[in-house]
Amino acid sequence: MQALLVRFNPLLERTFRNVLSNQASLSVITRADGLRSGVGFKNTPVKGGLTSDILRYFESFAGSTAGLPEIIFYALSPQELDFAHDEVLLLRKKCAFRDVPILIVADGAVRREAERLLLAGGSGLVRFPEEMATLPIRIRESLQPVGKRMPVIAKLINPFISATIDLLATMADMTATRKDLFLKKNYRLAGDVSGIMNITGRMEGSVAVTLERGLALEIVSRILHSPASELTEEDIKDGVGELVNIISGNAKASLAGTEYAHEITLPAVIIGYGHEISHPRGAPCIVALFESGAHTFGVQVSVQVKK
Amino acid sequence: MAADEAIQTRFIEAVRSAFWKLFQTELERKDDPPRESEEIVFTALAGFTGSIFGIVSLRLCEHTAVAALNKHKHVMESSDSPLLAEVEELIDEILQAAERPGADHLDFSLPEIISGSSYEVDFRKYRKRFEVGFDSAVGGLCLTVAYC
Repeated sequence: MQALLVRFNPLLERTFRNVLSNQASLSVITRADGLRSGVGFKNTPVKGGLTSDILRYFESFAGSTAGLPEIIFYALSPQELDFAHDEVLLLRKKCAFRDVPILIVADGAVRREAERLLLAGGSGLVRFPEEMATLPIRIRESLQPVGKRMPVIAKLINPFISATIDLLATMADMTATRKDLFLKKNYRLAGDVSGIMNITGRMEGSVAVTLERGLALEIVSRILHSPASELTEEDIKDGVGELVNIISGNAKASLAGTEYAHEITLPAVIIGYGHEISHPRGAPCIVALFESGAHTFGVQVSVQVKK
Repeated sequence: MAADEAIQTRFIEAVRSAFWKLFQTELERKDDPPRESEEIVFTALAGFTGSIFGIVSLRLCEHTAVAALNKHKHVMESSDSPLLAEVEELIDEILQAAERPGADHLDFSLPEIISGSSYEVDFRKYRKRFEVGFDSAVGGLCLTVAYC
């Protein structure tokens, strides 16, 4: 397993290396100027912002997913709280469509600040040093899909996948290829623009399409036959709403007359950098990732059959 | 018009009843509901169908969620995302109170919770909408119901 440690001081890093020695291959984001890495800086917290270092780390993969972290630990430094929100948000953004758990490592003195990072994209908290003994268990839990006690209705996702591919081909003249299909580990999927449709009836849940802003612009621009530079904010909202409306409507038609027949509501559209959508209550959440050109986007379906 | 008022009353009473049940605190209506801004950090969204169909949204300030959380310490011990769990419990209570059996029963979807520091939720696909702000001892919140 590949694990990434961010903002770790040498003491913390050594502790994690000892605990995870047989379990994970560790990468550490350090400062380009080497401030953090020398022996002379033992136990010194990482100084200053790490934005450019985080960007450099992810750029080093040059679009390949091989070697990318499967789990990230972010150490919350009491001396550098100002940077924490933006750095965790950036890490989430960089893993936006890959459902990578980001665990915030913090001691009790900054517990409240650590909780705030759950809003920025953190998946959970690890109390240091109290929870070090149970760290391997926490990692195992973090990598488990959510809703595993509920039945996964795998055949439900197929109409949504077909509808997504058909829609982009027919209305936007774009090719979308389905890449990964997985059960979400934490229900969170970060995007810039999302359309959500709710499902009621014999099944209950929701369907969400989450995109980067650049891709949303391109799709809407192609559907409306209008240059992206001329699109207004309202056009983007309407376009993404229509996207999820058509995908859900077509999937609903495919499932009509089956045991999975359902009703859908109208869409709500969420706009904002790095927002996340959580589907609580233990229903499994199936995510289909698609690639279109250089962009990735996600369609997530979280439903359960009503008792 | 009377039907619109009935819908408003139904959801407002559902919010009041859920707040009383969970936090034993009264809600006061505010003339100026909180807007989408840095202050709003959670939005719980649930769709509904029935005699009308639409979507209900509950926006909470962070300090409301934190204050609510402090009243339910057990959640903090049992969840990786205690604030999300707290918002989930609140929206569950509201939906249960708004469901009502019988002819005007509404069928609610599972809710989603949106988090982030700055985002906006757009409901323009729905023809009608009302928005009500509340204040309470544990903090402010804003109810929006959009429907057709």
